[in-house]
Amino acid sequence: MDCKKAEEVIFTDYIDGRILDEVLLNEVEVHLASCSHCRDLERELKSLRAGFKGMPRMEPPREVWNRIRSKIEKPQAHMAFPGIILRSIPRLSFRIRPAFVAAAATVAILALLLLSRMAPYSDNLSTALTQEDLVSMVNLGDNGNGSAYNFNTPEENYFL
Amino acid sequence: MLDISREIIKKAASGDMGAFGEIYRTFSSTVYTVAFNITHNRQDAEEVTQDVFVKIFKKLDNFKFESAFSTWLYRITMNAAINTYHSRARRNKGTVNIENVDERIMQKAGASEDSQVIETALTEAGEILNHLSSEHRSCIVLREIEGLDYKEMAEVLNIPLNTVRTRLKRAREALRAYCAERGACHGL
Repeated sequence: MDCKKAEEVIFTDYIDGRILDEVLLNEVEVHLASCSHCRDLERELKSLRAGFKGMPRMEPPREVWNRIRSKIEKPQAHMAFPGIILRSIPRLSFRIRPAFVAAAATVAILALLLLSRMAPYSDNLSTALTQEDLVSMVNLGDNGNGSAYNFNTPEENYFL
Repeated sequence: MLDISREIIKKAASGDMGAFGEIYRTFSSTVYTVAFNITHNRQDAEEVTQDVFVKIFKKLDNFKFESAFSTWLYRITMNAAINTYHSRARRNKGTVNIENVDERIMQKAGASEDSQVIETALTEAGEILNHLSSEHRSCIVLREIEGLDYKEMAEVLNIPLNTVRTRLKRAREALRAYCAERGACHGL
C-alpha cells in the first residue's frame, strides 16, 4: 500500500474504526509501521478528534423554553376557533354516530307505533266530524221542512 | 443518538404540553449545542433552538416514524442553523465576528473558573470550526461532537454514504491545514 491510498483510508474509515475488512486493516497497519509521514497524520487526526470529544454540552437559557411555550400557545389560542371546529368534526361524528343512530331509530320506531295506533281513530273522527258538520251546516239554514231554521231561545233568535 | 418513546411523541402530537416538555428536556441541549457549534453565536443558537422546537411542535402530526426521531430533529436543526449562519454572514458581509463571544465571556461578572474554561474551549473550537465551510462544519459537528456514525450522518444530511466520507475527509484536511498554519490545535 502506498501513502496516497493509505491516507485515503486513514482520514476516514481507519481513524473512525470502520474498517471491517481484516486484510485492508492489516495493510494499513503494515504501512503505518513503516511510514512516519502517515503515522504523523494518524497522530494529528487522533489529537484533533480527542479535542472535539471533550467539548462541553450546552444548555439553552430558561427563557428559550418560555418563548417556545408562548409561541406555541398563542397561535393555538388565536387560531383555536376554526382549528378546533375543523378538528372536532371528524372526532365528534366518530364518537356520536352510534348514539345518534340509536336515538334516531328509537324515535322513528315510536313515531311509527304512535301513528299506527292513531290511524283508525283519526279516520273515524274525521268522518264523524265531517258528517256532524255537514248536518249542522245543512240544519243551520234549513229546519228540514224547506223553511228557515226555528230557534228556540230569544237570544238565539235575536243574534242569529 | 438520543431517542424518545413513541408514546411521548404521539402525546405531544395531540397537543399534550407535558409530553412536549419531555421532548424539550431530552433534546434541548443537543439542539442548542449543534446550533451554537454551527452559528458560533449564542443569540443565533437561542433563536435556532426556539424555531426548531416550534417547528417540531407544528409538524409532529406529520412525523411517520420512518426514521429515528433524533435523525429528524438533527436534520431540522442542521438546516435551521446553517440558514441562520448564512443569513448572519450575509449581514456581516461574509465575516462572523467570533470576538463578540470572547468579549461577553470576559464581561460575565462572577463567572466561575470552570465556566470560563468551558467558554474558552467553546470559543477555540468555534474559531477552528469557523474556518470550515458550512458543509464541512456540519460533518465535523455531527461526527466529532455529536458522535453520529456515517449512516446516521447520511440520513441527517440527506446525502449518500460516499459523500459523507468525501466531505469528512476534506473537512479533516482543512482542519489539519488550519492547525498547521496556526501552530497547533492539540486538544483544541
